[in-house]
Amino acid sequence: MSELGYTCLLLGLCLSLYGIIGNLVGILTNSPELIISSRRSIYMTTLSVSISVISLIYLFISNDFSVKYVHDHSNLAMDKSYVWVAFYSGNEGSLLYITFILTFASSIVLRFSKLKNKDIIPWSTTILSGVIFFYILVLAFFANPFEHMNKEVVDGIGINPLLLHPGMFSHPPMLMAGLAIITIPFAFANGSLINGNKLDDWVDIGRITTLLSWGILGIGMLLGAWWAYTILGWGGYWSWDPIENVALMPWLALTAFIHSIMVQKRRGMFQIWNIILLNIAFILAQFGTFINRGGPVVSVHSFASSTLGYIFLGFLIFSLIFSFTIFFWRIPKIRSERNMESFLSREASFLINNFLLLCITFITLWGVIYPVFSDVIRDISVTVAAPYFNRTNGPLLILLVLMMGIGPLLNWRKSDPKQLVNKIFFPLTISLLIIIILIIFIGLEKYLAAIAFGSLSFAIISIFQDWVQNTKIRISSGDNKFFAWWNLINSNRQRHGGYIVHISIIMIGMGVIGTNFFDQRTDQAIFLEESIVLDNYRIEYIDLIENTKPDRITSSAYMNIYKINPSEYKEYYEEESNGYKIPKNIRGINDKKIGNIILKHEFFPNFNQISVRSGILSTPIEDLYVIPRDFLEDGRIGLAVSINPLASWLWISGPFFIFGTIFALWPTSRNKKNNNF
Amino acid sequence: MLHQKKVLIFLSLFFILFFGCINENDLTLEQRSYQLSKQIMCPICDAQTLDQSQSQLAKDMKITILNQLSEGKTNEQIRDFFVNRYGEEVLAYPPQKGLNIFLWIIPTTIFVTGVLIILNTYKNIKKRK
Amino acid sequence: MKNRKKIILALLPISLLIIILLISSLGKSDDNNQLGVNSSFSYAPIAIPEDKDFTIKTLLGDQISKKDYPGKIIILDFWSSWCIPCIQEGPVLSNLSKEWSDRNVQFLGVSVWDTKENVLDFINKNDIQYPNAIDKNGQIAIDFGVRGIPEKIIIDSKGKIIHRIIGPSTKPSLEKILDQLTTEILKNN
Repeated sequence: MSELGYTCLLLGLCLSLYGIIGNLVGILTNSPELIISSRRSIYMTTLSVSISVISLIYLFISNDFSVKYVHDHSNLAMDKSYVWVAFYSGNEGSLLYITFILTFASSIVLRFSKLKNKDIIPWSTTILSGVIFFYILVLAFFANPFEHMNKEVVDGIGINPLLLHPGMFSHPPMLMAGLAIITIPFAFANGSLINGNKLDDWVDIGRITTLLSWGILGIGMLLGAWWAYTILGWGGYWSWDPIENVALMPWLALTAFIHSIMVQKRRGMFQIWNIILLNIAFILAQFGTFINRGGPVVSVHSFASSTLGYIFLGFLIFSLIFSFTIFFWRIPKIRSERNMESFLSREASFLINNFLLLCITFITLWGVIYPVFSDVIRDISVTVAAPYFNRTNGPLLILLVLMMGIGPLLNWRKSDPKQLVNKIFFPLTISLLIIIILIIFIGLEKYLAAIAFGSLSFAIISIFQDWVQNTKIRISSGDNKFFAWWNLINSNRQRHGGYIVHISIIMIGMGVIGTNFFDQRTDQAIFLEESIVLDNYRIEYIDLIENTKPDRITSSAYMNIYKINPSEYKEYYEEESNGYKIPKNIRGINDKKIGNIILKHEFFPNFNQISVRSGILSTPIEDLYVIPRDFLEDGRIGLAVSINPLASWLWISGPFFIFGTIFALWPTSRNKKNNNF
Repeated sequence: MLHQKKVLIFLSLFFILFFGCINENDLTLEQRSYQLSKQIMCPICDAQTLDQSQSQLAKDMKITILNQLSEGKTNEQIRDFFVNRYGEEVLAYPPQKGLNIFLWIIPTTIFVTGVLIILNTYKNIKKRK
Repeated sequence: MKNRKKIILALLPISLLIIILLISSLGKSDDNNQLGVNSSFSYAPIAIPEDKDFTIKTLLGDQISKKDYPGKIIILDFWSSWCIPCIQEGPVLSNLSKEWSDRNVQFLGVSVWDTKENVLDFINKNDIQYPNAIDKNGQIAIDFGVRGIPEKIIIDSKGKIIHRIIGPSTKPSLEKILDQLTTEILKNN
């Protein structure tokens, strides 16, 4: 089976090489047959890569430990449902997965694209085949998943226990798929640039594939954050770690693109700029692959580092040179940009939005690279972590949210300043009021949080204002309220899908501000039946159960959570501490049990690794978050208890994000196409 | 135009306030130690702050922070204590001196360049009119 | 050519970044010291001030510091009874301390993240006679910038910290260092 898989890889290599050469020769000799046949070679590449994928899965299921990859990433004890995770838990498998997604998505897009007969297709297919060729080349010669062991073995090493979590089923494959699919809009953009004369043919396909990649990447990151928060148990969800940043940066560039492509679609502007954005996104995605596969940056997400780093650095440099060359070779020919008419226009707001997004992208890039820079130049290692990114990107993100509120108020081409003042009046006054009220309530020292909340409310009010006003117009023509709104947002899916995504981003913003500015936290160690009080919660330690399995030792601690009146526990209050301990059997009269949580601490002797499961009691207002820090020998349990206000909004945003993205992607039916204004 | 001005004033105020720092020594010891544990990295873990790390050393470093805070040391002194023992990389962001200034200069440059480009666009629009 | 200038301007930072990335990935080594246990012997840079003093409460209840050992070479060993490299090192250190005790060399042990029982057990098993202390919360270790165990701080006869050694050391490697230091004392005298 491993021979079949490897042969299919080699076959795919030849087919994708044929895809490159066939297309180029086809373009040069102007023979449509050759071009069609080399487009079909991508379909065949997909087929052969699929067979490789299936044979690797088969090797995992049949426990064929003579294959090194299977030996390293699974064992007999592993539940077969984890094959899915084991498949991409190492370099070789994840590259195979990426290649599969890329070929599969390319085939689908090429098969169903309406551009089939346009002259940008051969060029785009060449670029796609080139990228696919590179990945298969790496797989075949540098990271072969079908390599054999040089000795006989009975059992495999097993999968890394940290990966044995439901979050691992969806988060890494989503991220990898999102990053892989960026190649498709990149190929179309550069294909049309090489082709030259018409830079508008690729807009639709570019927008759809970008939205797809952007949506998958976004969901992947959100899932990662959710997984880290609910399962990993370090109490956070986003730490501005290099690996997180390299996924965020292309996403930000793509976010800029999906805004500015609207300008090209509507007004025929920003043609060149959009191609630059996709180039940036693609190069950043390659940068991410490089960092992931053994780049010079330290991260918690340790992917086995290897010589693959050089290869991907090489590919990064190559794609940089490639896109720069194409760009500067072609740019003198294209100079028919339409100009902006007014600064008070939707297109200008998109310009500012793009500027802010790219600012954040490049600042983040600089933060990721700076430690390397410092290491090389002055031989002193430094760390650039969350505080830096919060400080530099924080204000820009707030400005971005403000732009999110201003955008819907502006018209295309130009807005009437009087009308704008009219429109902006309501959201602006309300949000300024919210800022003032918040400052009165939470005190001046958290003015930043107040301003951030104000900006968020500004953004959301302006979206709702837009909806209410436009729905009213429809209601006056006799529609039912909900249907009026539904018809409104269906009349321009791109725009209103965008608003729905904006709402989800505002929810994320709420969560971020709540957890960053208003979190409370205490570290205490308690005996059985003792309690910890934090704010108006009491956590009582009621039971401990220990359980030994062959592969792990699990300690489960049971806690009851009570809502209390803190004044009843005044006598136990300690100075200089947020939380305090309560001795056994002490209870307030007004204590109300609101739930119980189980904390788990698992030790895997084979891997010398600890995994911790924290307990969360979640409400829309705040999460009570309990992390078991350690189980002490005297029987105490060390807990880190925190209250994370508004944290659940981070996850509530997910469905909105997905819905908004799909809504914007959903094709407009033909009969409505004409009135989509 | 009134509202535009408001937004401008509001924005400039916001920036002034943002870069002016909060006096971090005003908080309770536990709040301060929590803050510090977010600013100091665990020296033996890859890219994790003390706050995030589960390692024994990180736990003990948090004890060090609490001990030193109750001795009345300032946050700056505690950060220096760790820098003297574990090198600059123990800080979650490097001290703002020497080459490290570039860490802050470059973002500012990026931002200012962007603003200039946008202003240029704005001027071009005006000129055409 | 306005365009050419722009191209150069854009290419400059990018090529700089690439060069840095290249240099740094060339010089990259794969070292991982998980769980704070050092598994291979090497010298580490000394970040702490070289005249740093210590105050340690030994298992016998004495307070000791540098001034208690004037003119002696001090080997301050951070270890733990559960750490495998330290267990391998136990007999080596015990023997060395006896062999070198009359040549102005003083061994001191600081057991980090350990319990009294285990430490006493370890000391008895290996017949360790030099003073040992328990540093339960790692505060002494942190004060010396220790990252993992075993780690040794070597202080010369003038009270200056001259080496920081991480990972398990073998008898010959330590003997070499001690030889060098004791001959220096002889030369100076």
